[in-house]
Amino acid sequence: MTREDFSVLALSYLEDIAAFSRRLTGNAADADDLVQATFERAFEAWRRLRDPAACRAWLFRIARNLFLDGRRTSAVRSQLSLATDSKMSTQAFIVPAEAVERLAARELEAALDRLPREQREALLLCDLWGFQYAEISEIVGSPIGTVRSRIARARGRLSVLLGRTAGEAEDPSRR
Amino acid sequence: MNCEQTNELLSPYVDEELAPSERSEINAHLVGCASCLEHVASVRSLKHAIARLESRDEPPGAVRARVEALRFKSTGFWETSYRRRLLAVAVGVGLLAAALFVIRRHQNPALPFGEELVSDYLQSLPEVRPAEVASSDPREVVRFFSGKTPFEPVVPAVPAAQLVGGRLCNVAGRRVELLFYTHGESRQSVALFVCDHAVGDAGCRKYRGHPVCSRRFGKLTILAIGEVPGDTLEKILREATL
Repeated sequence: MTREDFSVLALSYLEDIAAFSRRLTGNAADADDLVQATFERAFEAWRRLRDPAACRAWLFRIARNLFLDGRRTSAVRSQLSLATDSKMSTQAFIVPAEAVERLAARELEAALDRLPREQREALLLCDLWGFQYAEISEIVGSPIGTVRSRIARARGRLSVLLGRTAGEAEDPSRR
Repeated sequence: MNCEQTNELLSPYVDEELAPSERSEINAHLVGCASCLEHVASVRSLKHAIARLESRDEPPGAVRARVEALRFKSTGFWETSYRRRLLAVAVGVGLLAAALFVIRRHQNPALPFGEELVSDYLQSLPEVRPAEVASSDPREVVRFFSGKTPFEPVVPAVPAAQLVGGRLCNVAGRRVELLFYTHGESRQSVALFVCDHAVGDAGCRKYRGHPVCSRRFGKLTILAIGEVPGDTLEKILREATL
């Protein structure tokens, strides 16, 4: 792969990285900086990308690492990832499919925002950006088993959260 | 497999991340279990709902321009492979020898400006030196040159090429704008020099093997040079507007 080939390939993922950065940072200004920093780093290190098919996941990993480098505070991170873990049971709650269909995007976004960061991240990488577990494992630097568990728990928790919103019209005895 | 064991695996089941044997076991359980089937439908509907959210975000024009300008930013000399470094050194020595030869053989007073132009172009190629202003927004580029040139800065609109940035240059002792564009799908480099030098009639001529085309715009002259053939440069200048 030449540098020009890499340029064309990498830039085709600019919008994905912009959306990912927006979700990581939560605001437009920081997202713009992160997008630029991600591509600067990618253009510095493009020779290390051996497999062009892995370019998209590689860019996501760079963006994520830069974001975490910029705000690496272990206390905050553990707070973010663990704060709600023990507060809510996620077992055996099923939000009806038809109720999910009726949800507005903002209701879904609001519920996603309430997930622990690592669960939300794994779920979005899987469902929103369509990465496979192995790719997500590479992006977030965690074993596949952990990724699988985070996604399953995210879905369980999301069902509970959405059940409170969407399930109002359903049979109350279900909850 | 009972419901509890199945529930543990429903999420990777929906994501098609299970081994074939596990998948078969779940399929077998689902045939006779309405509750787990409903759970699958729920997980699938969540997955589809999330997939419908925005996964792509158009960044602001300035961010896009800065990122796209990275294409032209030089990677460090020592980051490139040994063969490429050798080639670069050989090309450099060759260019130096050619330049010395041309300077000694062609002391034509009508040419120094063109020679200098080609030399500046080669030294300012975006691959060699990063642009001082990287933007596709003409207003931002004009702002960068404002007060730096002996004339009111302009950025020509060129329908066939995309502005990516610019840098300040000195040609024949005068400050000029050097604007970088990309042309066509293969994004070949095209550079436009905007100056207040008088260089005679519009047209194209070759300096050191490179076609250089010029066109007068009132008191300003715009000279085009690039990776594209002379007739393409002429077309670019013909269609350019201030």
